[in-house]
Amino acid sequence: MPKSNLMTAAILLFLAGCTPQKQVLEDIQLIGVVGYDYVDGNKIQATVSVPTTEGGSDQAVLSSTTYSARSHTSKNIRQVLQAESPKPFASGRVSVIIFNEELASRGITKIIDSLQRDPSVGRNIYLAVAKGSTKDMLSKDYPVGEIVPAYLKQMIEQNMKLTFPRANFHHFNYSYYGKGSDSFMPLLDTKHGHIRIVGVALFDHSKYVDHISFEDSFIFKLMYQSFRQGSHEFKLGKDNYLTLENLSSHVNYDIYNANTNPKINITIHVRGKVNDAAGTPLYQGKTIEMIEKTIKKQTEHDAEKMVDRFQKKGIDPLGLGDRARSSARRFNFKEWNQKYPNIPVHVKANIEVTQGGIVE
Amino acid sequence: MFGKRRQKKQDRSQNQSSGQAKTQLTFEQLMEKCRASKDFVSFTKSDKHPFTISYYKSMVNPELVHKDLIPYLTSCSSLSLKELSQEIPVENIEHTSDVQTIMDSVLTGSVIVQSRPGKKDCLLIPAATAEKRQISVPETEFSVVGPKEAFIETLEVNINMVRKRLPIPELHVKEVTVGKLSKTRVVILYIDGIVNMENVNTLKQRISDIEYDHILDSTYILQMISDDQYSPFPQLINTERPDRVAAVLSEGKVAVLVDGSPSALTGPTTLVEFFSAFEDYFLSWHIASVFRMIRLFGVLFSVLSTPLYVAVLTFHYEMIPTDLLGTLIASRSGIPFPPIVEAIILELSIELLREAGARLPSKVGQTIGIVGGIVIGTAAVQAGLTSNVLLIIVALAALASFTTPVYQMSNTIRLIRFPFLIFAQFWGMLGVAICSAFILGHMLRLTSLGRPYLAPLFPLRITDLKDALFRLPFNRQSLRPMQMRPADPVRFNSQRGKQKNDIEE
Repeated sequence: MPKSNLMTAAILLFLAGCTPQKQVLEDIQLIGVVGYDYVDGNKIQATVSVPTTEGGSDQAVLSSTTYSARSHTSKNIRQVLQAESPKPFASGRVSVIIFNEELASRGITKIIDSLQRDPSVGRNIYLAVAKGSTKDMLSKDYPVGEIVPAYLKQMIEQNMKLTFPRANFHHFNYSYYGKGSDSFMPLLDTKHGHIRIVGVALFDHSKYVDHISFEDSFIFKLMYQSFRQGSHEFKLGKDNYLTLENLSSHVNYDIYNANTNPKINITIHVRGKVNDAAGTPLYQGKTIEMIEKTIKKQTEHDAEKMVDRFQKKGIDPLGLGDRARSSARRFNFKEWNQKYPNIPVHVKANIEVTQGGIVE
Repeated sequence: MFGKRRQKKQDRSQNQSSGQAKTQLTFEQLMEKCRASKDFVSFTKSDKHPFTISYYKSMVNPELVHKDLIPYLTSCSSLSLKELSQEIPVENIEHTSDVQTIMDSVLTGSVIVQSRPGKKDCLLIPAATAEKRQISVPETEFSVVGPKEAFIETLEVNINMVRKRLPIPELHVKEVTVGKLSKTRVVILYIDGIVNMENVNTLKQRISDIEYDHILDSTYILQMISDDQYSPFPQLINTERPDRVAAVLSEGKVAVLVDGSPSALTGPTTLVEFFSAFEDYFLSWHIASVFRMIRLFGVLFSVLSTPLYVAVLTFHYEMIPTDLLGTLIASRSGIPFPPIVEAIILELSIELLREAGARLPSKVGQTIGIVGGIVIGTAAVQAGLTSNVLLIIVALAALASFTTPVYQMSNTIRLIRFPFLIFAQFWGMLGVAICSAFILGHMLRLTSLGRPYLAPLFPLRITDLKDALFRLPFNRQSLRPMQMRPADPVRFNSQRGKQKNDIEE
């Protein structure tokens, strides 16, 4: 007993200062979204969107407001922002970080570095590139029944469940710091009073170099990961379109001779359901076969074209290099990077239409 | 130094209460002392009859004295005391000249019969009256189905209620008298052949070692014989149900009944037993198991919910689910207190309500509940003093704490919430974890009559789990709990217990 009493006394005496810092919920400003804009040279402008409440505790209304400031480093911006805020900022609830197009194409290394060092920033947050100024995007009001941070987060989240390939901060870090892959993120734009995803912003390491359209993101996702849900429109014939809803898709990579003379076969299996095919008689067995064939052809064609485009640009958002590394011993990234633009990639799609709705 | 002081005290008490006096009183001195009380009578019926009768009027049954005693004394005036004791139709008549015995029994309602005033030997005829109240419905351990008898304040009736349920000669009843002033009769019940005598001896020794002047209820005993008297956790179960006592006796436990107390103590016990209501055995086992787990969840919720609220709101805003964040910020905005003050105010007001309700007659108590719960609650939120989220949490936590079937335990649960709150305020979730570690460590060290308190869980006794966190059907309960180390561990033949002798088979 005396020993343990002594220990307790010692702990109380020497570790009295080792207590966590208090951050009472209502005494801090929870940053929901951060937007970074390019100003000039080294200077960047950051805009934060924070939820605020008006009214008493009984009928409080939640809204969001923005603060923005310019500086050279993102942490210093915090200090400048602090100067006009009633409460200190806390970055533990950041859910989306947006880079303006211009800033992204000049490289986001500095910001990423400071973000990934910050332990209070989560890894399941979303990064995005915005066309135009992020300040304008964040300071507008959107009639969606949600405050801007929640709107942006939910919008990106639900799209990643559907046709958009998954890409949060964790995935970004993996492809950013890992060899043999490049990162991508949603490309946002404000249209008709809403924010929308207009495509996939493709990065060459830290620089935004290219983008593919939102329509093509389904094809990209088919190659990138196995998933359920999502739908895509295919052209069946002249003036005849149909929508295929994905029930489950599976992708498989076969990489041959990764070290010497690489050759890649991508096999996609899609089990789907024809959703919207007005004018096409689905009850005829042959029609289904015809549809399957057409979709297969289109998918293979679009996918190969997309990969070809990546190769020409020298970017690797599908992580082919990473996949090749995992299939070969003593993998040499230098050689791979030289060969990358000319590696033959074949896409094979197996489409299976299992149903066409409840009407036979 | 302390020894001396104690010695002095003892001397003083000996001088004050004659009962402890080692110096023998003479019979005359005793009579002198007794006559100082107004309710002591001593008389000789008439000169023809030699017998002198003395008793405390308030302690004897007058009917017995008038109908069964005095007629015999007057009619058999020529007999000696020995012959008289055979004549009188009352059992357990003692013929003694020991003054100490005489004093003890006259004070518990015996009638002293002397053949002639001045003679030292006398007859002690037990004629105690026992005023008792009606057997009523259990109030703190009420059950919807099942027997509705509760113990009353009379020891004999209580023993009767147990023996009625276990009519076997192996049910032993041992009596110990404790309390210098109250001379309370404490009775230890156990089933010989099932119980482990170690438990009985521990209990008997602890009870006879009690040093106190008055023992008025079994809860006195409960606190005095607990293994760790400084623990907030009760270490014996306090029950008012004779059926529960009968059930645990047949498990190999020991029960203690105290004269004048409407509740029995049973032990050795474990923590999980405090969360099993006796009604669990009256319901089908699935339902009983689910209810038991709901109760356990209720305990955890009741202890941890407000501390977690304080911890999360003060330290870990990152942990709040996104969908709840807006609601929480909205409900907290405009409240002048930090979460801890808010939580303590609400917790204390709930305790106030409970205390006020408990001290008032039941009808007024209900009104207090309504006034407190609805009026103060809504008003506090509307006045912006507390957030409605916390109000819900505190109310639910209080509700959850009342699900514990044993009253003593539910008090403990409400109490240990406060250290958790303080730790949560200082160190957030880390503090809650530290406090849990302290409480858990304390419970690990606790014992009940020398048997581990967290038993079926630690040390893990898989066979005892059949009736711990959940309750398996009766045909799986063929073994008595290992916790008590019963002399006979088998309750019934499990093979035959599982058979179904239906006519079709």
